[in-house]
Amino acid sequence: MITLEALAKDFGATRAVNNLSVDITAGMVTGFLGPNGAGKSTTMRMILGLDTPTSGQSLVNGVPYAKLAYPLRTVGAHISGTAGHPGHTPRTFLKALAQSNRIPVRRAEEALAEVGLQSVATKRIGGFSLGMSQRLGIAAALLGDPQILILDEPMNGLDAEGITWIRQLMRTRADAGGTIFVSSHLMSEVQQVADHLILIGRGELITEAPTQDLIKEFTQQLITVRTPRATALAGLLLQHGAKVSTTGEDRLEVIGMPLERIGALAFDGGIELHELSIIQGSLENVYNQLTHDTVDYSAELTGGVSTK
Amino acid sequence: MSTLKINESKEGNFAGSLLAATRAETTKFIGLRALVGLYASGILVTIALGWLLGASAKASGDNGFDTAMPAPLLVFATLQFGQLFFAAAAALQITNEYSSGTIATTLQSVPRRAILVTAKAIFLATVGFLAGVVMILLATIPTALSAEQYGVFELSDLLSAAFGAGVYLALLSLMVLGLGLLCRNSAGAIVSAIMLIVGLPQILQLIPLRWVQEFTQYLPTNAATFMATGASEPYGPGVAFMVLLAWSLVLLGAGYFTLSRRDA
Repeated sequence: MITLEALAKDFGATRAVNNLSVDITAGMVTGFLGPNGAGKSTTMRMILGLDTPTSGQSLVNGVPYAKLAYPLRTVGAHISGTAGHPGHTPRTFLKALAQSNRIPVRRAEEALAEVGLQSVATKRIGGFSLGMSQRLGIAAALLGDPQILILDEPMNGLDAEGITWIRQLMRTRADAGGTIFVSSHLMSEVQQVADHLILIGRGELITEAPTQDLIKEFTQQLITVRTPRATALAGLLLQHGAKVSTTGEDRLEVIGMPLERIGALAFDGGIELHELSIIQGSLENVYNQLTHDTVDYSAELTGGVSTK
Repeated sequence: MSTLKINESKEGNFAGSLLAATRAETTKFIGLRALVGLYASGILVTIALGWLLGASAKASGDNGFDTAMPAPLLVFATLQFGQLFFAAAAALQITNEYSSGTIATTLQSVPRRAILVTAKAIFLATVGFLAGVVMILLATIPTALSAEQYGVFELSDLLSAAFGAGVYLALLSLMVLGLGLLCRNSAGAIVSAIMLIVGLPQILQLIPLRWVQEFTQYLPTNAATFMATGASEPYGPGVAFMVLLAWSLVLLGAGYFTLSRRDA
């Protein structure tokens, strides 16, 4: 269980995280979503005691991180793209970490096996690909067999097989009672595995809800209608309880009414239709909509350079 | 969920955590060839320079100059070069972590800053002390051989130089660790260390103010010389030790303060 209580962080005049209060509960995978620069990494760094909050606090299992005597046994985290010193071997890196938290040194070998890096146990980390570094970072996180796992963008640099593997790993540990907190800037990466989603933008909570609820709420059928008598049809549909918005001179978007009923109402009212179609809303679209207003570095502002 | 039965413990005692963190520092050090190499190079350079200085002392002595000095002290005099290797190694033990980004992982594993700094200090002081003692013992042999009758020494000279070099390198390591924590990058830490032990003594000499000259006597390198040679003027080995200790504690304390207050 991770508790964030009105967590806030300023970097100079910029507020990176603002008044963030959420509980990340055990037994599930919690996805932490937001565009780049939304404050995800800063939040995770504050949980781990790397950055000091400007106000508010974060607790792991009820205590501040710095109060944990051997924190790797409680919280495993991988928060940067790289892991270890380039001159070290994975074995040395993990052995030192194990020793620092009085974890049996044999766990270093076990963790390497868990992430599939046994064959490079004595190679220098400096020569690793991004995917191998991610796996090593995850090995370090798993070293103390912690109840809580905090992973910042763990799928970056992983291939398809690697992504399946990390999803399975998160699923298995969550099902065994673990608290899994995983960040991403791509909905598609976490949608499949997260039980619960926390969306942030510009350091503020946008929404948090079970993934299923978010999908249900936002994937209602959206119907597009084209008609020369848009105003008349809009009035008619509104009378019958639909939500209608105009998107062009002859175009309406309708929510909350089945396709067939719209067709029937138009027919009864003698209104000519040129198009009547369904657009299936995806969670991805919803996410893009929700965060669009909060992207700090959007293409328009940076002269067409997209930062994803 | 632990299937491994690694007990979670919230209340750790300071000594246990400190010992664990110190072992981790040792493992990290041994795993880096560059660091081990710096210590080995420092010792080898001192052996070579000691031999050279011994030969020079003999040549001068043969030509009628009075340059005779106990061989262990001749070796100690070469430390002005050898110390640079040990200072660089001590700086890297912390600045490495910043340049590679492993400081985040290190602080996750040892979140109590006081324990981390103390563990690094214990490790570096131990290695520094051993390097100093081993260096004097090894380098005295070729130096004594090359200096011949101009390097004759007593056992007490050997012990005093070995102990002095050990204590000096131990405390120098702590000073540099403090500088590393303040600078957070290798170039800054190493350059400021060189300024402290090589630059400052020479620069301050050029300032003809009485109190500046007085202060120069208390710079680490001068204090080290007074400690190892058993001087009595301007102050003796006991005071010299206290002066070195004060330098270490001030710089290390400033480093610890920075680590505690600034975001990692």
